[in-house]
Amino acid sequence: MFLSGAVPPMMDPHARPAREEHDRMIPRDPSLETSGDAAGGEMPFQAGGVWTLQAPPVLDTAGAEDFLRRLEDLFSREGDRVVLDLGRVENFDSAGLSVLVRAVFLGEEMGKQVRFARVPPEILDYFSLVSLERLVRAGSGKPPREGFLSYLGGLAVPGLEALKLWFYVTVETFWGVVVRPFKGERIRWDRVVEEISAVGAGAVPLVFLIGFLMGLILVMQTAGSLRAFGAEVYVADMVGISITREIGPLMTAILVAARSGSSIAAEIGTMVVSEEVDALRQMGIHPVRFLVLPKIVALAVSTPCLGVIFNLCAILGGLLFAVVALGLPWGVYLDHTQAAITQYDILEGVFKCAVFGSLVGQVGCALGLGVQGGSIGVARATTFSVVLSIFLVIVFDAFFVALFRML
Amino acid sequence: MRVVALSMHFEGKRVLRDIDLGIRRGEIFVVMGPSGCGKTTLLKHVCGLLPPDLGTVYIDGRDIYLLPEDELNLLRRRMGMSFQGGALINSMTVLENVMLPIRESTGLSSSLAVTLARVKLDMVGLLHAAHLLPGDLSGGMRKRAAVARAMALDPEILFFDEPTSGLDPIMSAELDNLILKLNHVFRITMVVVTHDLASAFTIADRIAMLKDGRVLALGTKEEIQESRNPEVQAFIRRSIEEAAGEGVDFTKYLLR
Repeated sequence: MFLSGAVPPMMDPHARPAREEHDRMIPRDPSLETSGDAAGGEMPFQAGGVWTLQAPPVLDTAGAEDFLRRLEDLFSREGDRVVLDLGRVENFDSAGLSVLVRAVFLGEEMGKQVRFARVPPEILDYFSLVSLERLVRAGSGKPPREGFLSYLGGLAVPGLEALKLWFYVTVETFWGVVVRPFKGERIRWDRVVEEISAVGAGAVPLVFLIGFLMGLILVMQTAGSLRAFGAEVYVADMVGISITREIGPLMTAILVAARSGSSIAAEIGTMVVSEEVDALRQMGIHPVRFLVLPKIVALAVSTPCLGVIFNLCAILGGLLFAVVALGLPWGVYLDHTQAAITQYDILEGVFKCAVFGSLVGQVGCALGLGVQGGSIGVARATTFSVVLSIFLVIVFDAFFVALFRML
Repeated sequence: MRVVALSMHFEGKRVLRDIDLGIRRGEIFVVMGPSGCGKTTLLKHVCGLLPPDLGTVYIDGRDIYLLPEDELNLLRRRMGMSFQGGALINSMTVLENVMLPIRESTGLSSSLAVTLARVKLDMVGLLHAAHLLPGDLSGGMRKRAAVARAMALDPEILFFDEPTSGLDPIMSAELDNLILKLNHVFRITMVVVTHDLASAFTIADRIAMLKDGRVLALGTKEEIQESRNPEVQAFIRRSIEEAAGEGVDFTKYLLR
């Protein structure tokens, strides 16, 4: 019924067929050529159930919309056949072709036959490049809409996959650190050191600054309230205890998550997408032991160190405000701080940092390894890694606080 | 299009030297040469993406790098470029990728824009892949999608950067066929950078061979094939320096 997308056979690739030969080679559909006079005019013309509409001289990007609207109007009328007369068309481009394609599609939808009349050879050239039948058969081109339930269901498998990866990463790392060294497989310390440099040393300026500001802010906020009781000197205790036990590890973990968790997920995710992980496996190098374990060990080792730096800077920040604004002698401040903090506080803080650090590493690596779908996948993994790390850190923190209060 | 005395360097290295070229309307112009000879850079200069250090690029008699930004953009819409890796936007489906220039540059309604994009996809045989993401496509499909997008606005000039690299022979031939078809039906001027000899000699009207940033040879297909220049012949015949037969000096051979 319609032209198929048959390519005019190029017998000799080095010769271009002449115009007339080219025309002869295109299969002709009798419905496309009506010899004779113009069967209609600018206005649709009806005769015996057949509507005929003449296309305007300008049937390209400029005139396409207008003609399409008139066509849609035509199709909504009675009648089972529409003839489109293209004899007067002078300007034609792909937009014009699209209008004709839509006309055919509308015809299919509304059960009307569509025929073309007086098709100029230039427009036939356009038709020779596409298959109207294929285009119409493939439908209107709208992607199928996904229901909410199917969207939820679609989250289940990736969710389970992510969980699987997390277990895999955790167990492999644990085994690699605790068991395998005794079986002869040494930890790659050179890689661990590289990672510590990136994850730990690189974060020091940030931790320094934020720690200092936190201490400062804490004292600024509470000094006023304590002054009412004449107890300003206890700002030192307050800063010491709250920072060492709680705020220090938590804030440090959040900083590490934001900085290193995202970069680990992005780095591993990009490696997955660009087939670098496949390359490692092909070389007989175990990706998790090579990539993941050093990162997690590095994080577990550096985060406590960063935590201690955070604590010191916070105490320093508090000290600055206390000395400058409250007029507290710095010796008194430090004495109070020393008296208030016990070694258990510090140990608790260090332990929490180690756990939080390795959590951030696990999440980042698991999500990075599970990346699918190119650059968007990497972007999603990166954002989610930060969010999930922080969430898990706080959950574990709550758990530890409950635990340590009971002990 | 005319390129006059064009020179370019990157990080201290001379990439193109004193290039003079003229490309006629409606012809298929192929730029060939060994890797690193500056072909892709030349392409970027000619399609308005990269201003050269020296020299001028004229399209329709106008120096394109002296045009104001909005006029240059109008000119760019009359051109289409198919990049080497496809350069499709990874977060959009194939259909959305082809629709992108249509939506941005024409005022067509959504339904017409979608139909137009699908027409272009059908021209390259990718209608069935319309709703896939670029990451789900094979290399050949990605290249064809890139061509569909390049053609979206019915450009007068099409640029191809290595259109057949990474494609199997049949797909290469199909892409060559598509290029020839488009040139024949729409009279589009085409500038193709390639090092695929078979492809070049199938589609070219004229060929420019580059080496070390200079034009080594310029002429029709036949003229290049009959060239007396030994470097041109070496490239065409894909010949590698052969060691001498008998009585070879092994030391010389090892140190060559």
